[in-house]
Amino acid sequence: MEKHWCHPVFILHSMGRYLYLLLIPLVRGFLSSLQGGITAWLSGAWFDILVVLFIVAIGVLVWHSVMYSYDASGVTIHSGLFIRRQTFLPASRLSTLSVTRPYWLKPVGAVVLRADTLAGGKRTADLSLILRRADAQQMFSLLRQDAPSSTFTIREYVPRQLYVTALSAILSNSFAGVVFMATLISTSGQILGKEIQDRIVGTFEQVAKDFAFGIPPFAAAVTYVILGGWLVAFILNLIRHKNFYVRRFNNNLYIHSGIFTNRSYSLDIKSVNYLEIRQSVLTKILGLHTAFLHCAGFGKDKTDVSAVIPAVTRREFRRTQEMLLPEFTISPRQAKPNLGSIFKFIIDPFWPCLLLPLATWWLCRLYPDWDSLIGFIGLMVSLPAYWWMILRIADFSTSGIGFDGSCYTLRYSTGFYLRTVVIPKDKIVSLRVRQSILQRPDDRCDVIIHTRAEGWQRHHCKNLLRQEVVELFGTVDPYCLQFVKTGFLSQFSWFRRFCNFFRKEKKSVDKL
Amino acid sequence: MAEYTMVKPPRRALAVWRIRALLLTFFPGFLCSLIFSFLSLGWLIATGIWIAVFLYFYCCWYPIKWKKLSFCLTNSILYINNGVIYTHRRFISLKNIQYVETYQSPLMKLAGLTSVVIRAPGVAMYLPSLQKEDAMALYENLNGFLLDGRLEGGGS
Repeated sequence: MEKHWCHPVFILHSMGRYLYLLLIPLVRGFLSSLQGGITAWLSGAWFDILVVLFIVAIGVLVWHSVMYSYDASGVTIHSGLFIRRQTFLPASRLSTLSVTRPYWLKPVGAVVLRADTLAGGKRTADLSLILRRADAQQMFSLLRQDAPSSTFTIREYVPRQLYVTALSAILSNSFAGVVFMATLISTSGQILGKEIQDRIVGTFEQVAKDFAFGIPPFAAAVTYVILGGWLVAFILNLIRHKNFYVRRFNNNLYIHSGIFTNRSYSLDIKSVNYLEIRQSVLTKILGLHTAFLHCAGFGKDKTDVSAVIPAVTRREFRRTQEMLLPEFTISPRQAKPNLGSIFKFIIDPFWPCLLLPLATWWLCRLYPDWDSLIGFIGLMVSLPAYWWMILRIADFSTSGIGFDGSCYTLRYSTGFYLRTVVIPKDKIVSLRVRQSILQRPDDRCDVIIHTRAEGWQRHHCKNLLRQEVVELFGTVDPYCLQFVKTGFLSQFSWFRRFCNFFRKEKKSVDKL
Repeated sequence: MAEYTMVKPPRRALAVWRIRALLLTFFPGFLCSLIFSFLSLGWLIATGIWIAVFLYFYCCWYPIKWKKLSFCLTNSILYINNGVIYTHRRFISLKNIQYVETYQSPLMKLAGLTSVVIRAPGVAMYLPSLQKEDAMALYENLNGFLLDGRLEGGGS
C-alpha cells in the first residue's frame, strides 16, 4: 500500500494544540512594558521569534509524522512524533465513515475524513484526518464498496424543503444560539473594538425597553434573548440541513447535507443499533415524526447531522422508513401500562406543577413591589412544568413494548421527548425486569433494556404487566424468568434456586 | 486439543520500565530542590517520599507486573494475564475485536520493544512492552483474523 501524507493545512491544525505557548511572548511583552518599555521588549524579541518558530516546527513535524495508506481491506495510519503509533482499521469494522468539507477548507481543497468503529472513545472519532479532496473521495469509495446484489435497487430520498425546515425548527436550541451570538459579539468586539461591542449591547437594551409591551424591561430582555437565540440556532440548523438527502445501497446508507459546509456520511446498516423516532408534545399534536439512527460515529460531533428522516407526516414516515430502512419494522403495542399506573407517570411533573405557582404566589405576597417581575418569572418557570405534565400524560397513553419477531418497538419518554425506539433483537445486550413493592399487588414491572455501542444506552418502559413482558422476551431469553422478582422471598438467591429446581422438576414430570 | 504457548515480555521490558521510572524521578527531585532549601526538613521529607515511591516501583511493582504479564492467542480468544495487587485474567473473543494498535516510544525502540492495544466495544486491552517480533506477530495475526476471519497458523 502506498503511503500518503495529509493535506498541508494539517500543519495549521497541529499548530493549534501548541498555541498556548504564545502566552510566553505575551507575558514577556507585559513584563517588559512594565519595566523598560519598547527597547526592553525589542532586546528580547529573538525569544518571541524562537517560540513562534518552535510552534511552526512542531506543526510541520507532526504533519510529517502522520502517514496513511489504504486499500479495499482497510486503512493503516502511522502517527506520533515521539511515541510512534500504528493503527489498522479494517473496512469491515467501520460503522461510520464521514467526509466534511468546511467552508474554510474549501479554497485549499481539503476535507476532514472521520472513521469510527464500535470501539474507541464516545466523543472522539477513531480516525480523523485532513486530506486532499480527491484522496478522501477515493478512500471513501474504496472503503465503502457496496456488496453486489442483483435484486436490490438503489433508493434515494430527497425530502421536501418544508420538512427540512420543520426539522431545523425542532432541533433548534435557544441556548446554542445564545452561546453563538455571545461568542460572535465578544469576538467582533475584540476585532473591531470595544465601541462596536458597546453599541450592539446598547442597541439591544434600547430595543428591549421599546418593545417591552407592558412587561418589565428585564423580563422582555430575557424573552428576546431566548427568542433571538432560537432564531440564530434555527438559521444555523437550516443551513446545516439544506440539500439533505439519503441514499440507500444494499448494505450502506449514504446521507448528505449542507450548503457552506458539506457533510457526507456512510453508515454500515449492520452496525446500526436502533432507529429512534423522537417527538415533542408540539410535533405529536402536529403529527410530525423525526427519525434518528443510533450508529457508532454518526452524530458524534456537535455540528453533525443525526436525523435520517426529517419532520414528516405519519404516512410519509412509514413510506420512507420502508424504503430506506426496511430492516427496522415498527410493531404495535403488545404490553402497555394499565389505567391505575397513570400516577407513576404524572408524579414527577406533579410537584413542580403544584409548588412553582404556590412559590410565585407566596413571593408576590412577600414582595408586593416586585410582583409584576416575580409573576412573569413564575409564569415562565411554571410553563415547562405544565408542558412536562402534558408530555407525561401523552407518554402514559402511548408507552409500551411491541415485538414482530425481528425487532422490538419500545415506546417511552425521556425529558421533554416521546421516543419510539426500534431495536433489532440481536442488538439487545441486557434486559432487566424490575418490580417495586407498589407494583407487586397488580403484578406490574418496569423493563430496562441496554443496547451497546461505544457506551451503554438505556431504555426504560414503565409499569407493564409482568406476564406480557415474559411472553415478549421469554421466547428470546429463556433465563428471563429468573430476572423477574416477585414476592418478598424472591430477593433471596436460595429461594430462587429452590423455585428453579422445582420448575425443572415439574418440566421433567410433564415430559414423562 | 491444540496446545497454545503463553508469550511473555522479554526481561529487558523490566529494564525499560525501571529506566522510565528513573527518568520520571527527575521531576519530583527538581520540584523538591525548587520549593525547599537543600537539606531542610521539608526537603528531607519530600525527598524521602519520592525516593520511597521510586524504590517501591523499582523493587516491587515493576518486577511483579513483569512476572504476571503474559498473553496467549488461540483460534477464538485472546487471553491476557496481568495485574500487580490483584491478578487479572482477561479474555476477549476475537470476533469482538474492532481494531488493533501498536505503540513504540524512543526508549522502547532502543530496546526493541512494542506495546499493543486491542480495542473492542466498551473495552481496550493493553499489552505493554512486548518483544517487537511478538507484538508484530500478534498485530498481523489479529488483523488477518479481522480481514478473513481466521488466524495464520492457528494462534501462538
